Amino acid sequence: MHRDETFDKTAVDEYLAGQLDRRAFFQRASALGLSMSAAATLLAACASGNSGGHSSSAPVVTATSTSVNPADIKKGGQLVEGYDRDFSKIDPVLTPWDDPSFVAIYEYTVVRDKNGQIVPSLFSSWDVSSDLLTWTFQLRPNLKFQSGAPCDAAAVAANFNIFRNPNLGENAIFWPTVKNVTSVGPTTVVVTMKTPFAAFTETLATENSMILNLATRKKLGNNYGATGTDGTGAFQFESYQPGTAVTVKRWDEYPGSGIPYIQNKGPAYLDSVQWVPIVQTGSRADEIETGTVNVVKNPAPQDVTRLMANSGLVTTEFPALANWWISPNCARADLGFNDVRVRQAMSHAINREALVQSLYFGHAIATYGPLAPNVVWYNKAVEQYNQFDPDKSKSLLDAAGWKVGAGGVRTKNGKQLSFTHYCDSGQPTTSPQLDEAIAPMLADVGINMTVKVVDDATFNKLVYGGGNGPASWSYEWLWASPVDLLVYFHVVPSDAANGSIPAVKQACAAWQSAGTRAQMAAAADALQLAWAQSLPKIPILTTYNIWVSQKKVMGYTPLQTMLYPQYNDVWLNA
Amino acid sequence: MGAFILRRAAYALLLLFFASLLVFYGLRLAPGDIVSAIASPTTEKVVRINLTKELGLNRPLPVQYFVFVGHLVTGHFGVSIANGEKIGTIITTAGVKTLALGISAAILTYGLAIPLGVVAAAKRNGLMDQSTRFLVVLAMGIPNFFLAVLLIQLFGVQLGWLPVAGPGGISHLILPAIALSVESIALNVRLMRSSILEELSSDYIRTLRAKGLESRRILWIHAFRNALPPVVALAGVVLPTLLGYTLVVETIFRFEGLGYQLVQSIIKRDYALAQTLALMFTALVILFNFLADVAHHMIDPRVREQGMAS
Repeated sequence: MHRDETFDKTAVDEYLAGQLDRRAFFQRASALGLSMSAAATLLAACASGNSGGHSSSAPVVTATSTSVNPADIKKGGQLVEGYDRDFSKIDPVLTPWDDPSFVAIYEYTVVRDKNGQIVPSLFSSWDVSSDLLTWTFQLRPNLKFQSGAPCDAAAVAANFNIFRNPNLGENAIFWPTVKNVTSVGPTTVVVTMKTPFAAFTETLATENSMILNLATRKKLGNNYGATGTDGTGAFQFESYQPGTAVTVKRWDEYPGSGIPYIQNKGPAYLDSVQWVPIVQTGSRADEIETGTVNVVKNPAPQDVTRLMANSGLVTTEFPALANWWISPNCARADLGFNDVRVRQAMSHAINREALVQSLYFGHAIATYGPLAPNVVWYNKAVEQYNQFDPDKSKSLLDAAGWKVGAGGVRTKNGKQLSFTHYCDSGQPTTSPQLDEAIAPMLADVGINMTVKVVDDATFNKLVYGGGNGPASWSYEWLWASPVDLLVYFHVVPSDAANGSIPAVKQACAAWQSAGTRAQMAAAADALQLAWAQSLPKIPILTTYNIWVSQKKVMGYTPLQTMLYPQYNDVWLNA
Repeated sequence: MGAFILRRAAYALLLLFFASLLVFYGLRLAPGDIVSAIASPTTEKVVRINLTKELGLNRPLPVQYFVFVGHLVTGHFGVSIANGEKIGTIITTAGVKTLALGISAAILTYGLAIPLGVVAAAKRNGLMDQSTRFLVVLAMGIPNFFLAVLLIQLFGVQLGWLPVAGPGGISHLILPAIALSVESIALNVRLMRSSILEELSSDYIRTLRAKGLESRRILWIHAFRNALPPVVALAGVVLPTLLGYTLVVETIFRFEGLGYQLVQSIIKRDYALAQTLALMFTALVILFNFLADVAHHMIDPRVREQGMAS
């Protein structure tokens, strides 16, 4: 393989230092006959050990909120936010993913603060019994839904019962230990557990556990979340047009948020918020620079340095509550994926730092275990595993009986280590390019991975539509309670596809029965170590969440511990 | 003339029937389905099965096809599975935008191409002709999606003159309309130029010159009128092509017209909306061809006589 080290070391460094603009960067790549993914692949070979840019374990935050004098706050106006993917139904019970409009329309019962600590929202306080099996939550009094219906303890208990019902929605897998939910009086909700479940509030602090008026949902049927919604949040539904825009307007009767860190204790300042999907990564910077939108999420990584240098914009970035992984299907014994040595060999063949630098221009972070380093439960010990080491990779494959055959592809018992890998083009970040950059790295050790890019519907049907799924696929999860998601993903699409690994299963069970925060931490540590060693799925990197807003947008404060910022404090300093 | 129109109309209806079959079964053959698009990976199997039933997707395909055709015939297109909105409303809202974009592109195409073609032919091998021919080759060589990106960078980002995305006023139409029409402008300039040149070398033009008729009158009245039929015939190809390009241009400019809606509905497997829009695009293409045939028949006596003889 031809590799141009000069291009790697100068062009990327100069770009990151702001000495080279985007056009010049690609001109130089193009002069060498490189596509972006090809450039990434070439860079991968010589960027080993280069951990410059933002690729440190410390999260990066370039902007934070500041206190303002209430008299200076200007009310009114519409905030237009460019979102990095298309919209799903605004329905916490059944939706493929959660969008920022959830945070405007609905409220959490409890929520995380910037340090990851659980703090009140609709619930003002809570207690756990001495046997750790009974949780008693106190709801703030006199709450209402936007339709005027009361949001009392009975309504919240009914929500919880829907969430835990496997026949009705998509949340039941996160509520396995909940035995019973009842309301006592207008403001008390009692949840009884089968086993201790200290992680319960982690589950509650996600968008899929936000409270809605179930009577409105029943009335609208399948159209709930598309033609109307009914929550307790600061904004009401106005319109929902997938592919076009979602718009919400201020709810004037909003009683104010119960979240301690929200400064505005009354109705929202903005008249309305509109989200527009900008699915083409390269267009996001154009739209914020030209003022088409007031805020944009996740511009193309190569544009971020330029946007940061723009004095009219504020850029905030930190690792997302996400991880991007590739999943060799452990049920495919013919490809050796049931053998941990083959999975480890794949992992050691991947130069994560090179991917971070070349594809994400430093706006991502390599992961060696299943969680990103900024997650409160992160276990740094995972970093001893999965480091880039092609020689070790080759040794592991040799030991597993896969010998180099014709064309450099390894074979065993006449079967080539050659497979099709599926990639979802609907992912908001540059996942197809990532897969295409990984393929040559695997080829270097004799693994032939052919990347096939498909759309969301095809991907979901292939991977999650039943059975064990295809030979290999990549996926980037995004979830506010990451350990809960690992517990789920270790059996999806099937236990066999994930290798049915006892240590992982044991750690998952420990997380779901942990009675204290210390036990949760121990379970999370064990789970990450077991995952990093046995690799039911191979972690690659965590992309950064990058938010760019115009300077006139005030009070817009994304937190590392939540998926989306709250809109209660946002105002436009026109 | 009446028989010609009837024959063409019957042919168009037959085409539409086959198109409806292709569109319906083509969408069903695509991998994935609407349930996979709207359900999360964490959704239990039982919920997926219930959703399939609720959406009527468990019924046999021929039954679903007749439901679809029944909706079309009665004018009740149903609702979008993705957002619950009436498809009729989506078509109206998005259709207005696409119509505005299409008309703008057509005005640009014929408003520029015809005079440019005529003038280039009249000044053959002059500076004007050379420049026009150079620009025509350039315009035909640039893919419209690439041109769209260039226009956004130049007029939107660098100069800040025009909005780069989204629907809005006339200013939002300019860049998409240019991106949409450049190739058809080039095609029509080229055709108009060669057609005029052919007419100018005809015997009847020499006769008119010999009679001392003013050259401007010869060009713009006599040669122009006889050079027009090929351009009209090409409209049957150009206008549907413009319609097809809206899928790309509307997506790049986030201009939420019918093309944009069609792309989004296919990605989401929003069958009801996708098949209605796809069939509507097909119907429009057939209609444009039908109208071009009729217009060609009307303005060109040679075609008319040929038709009568056959």
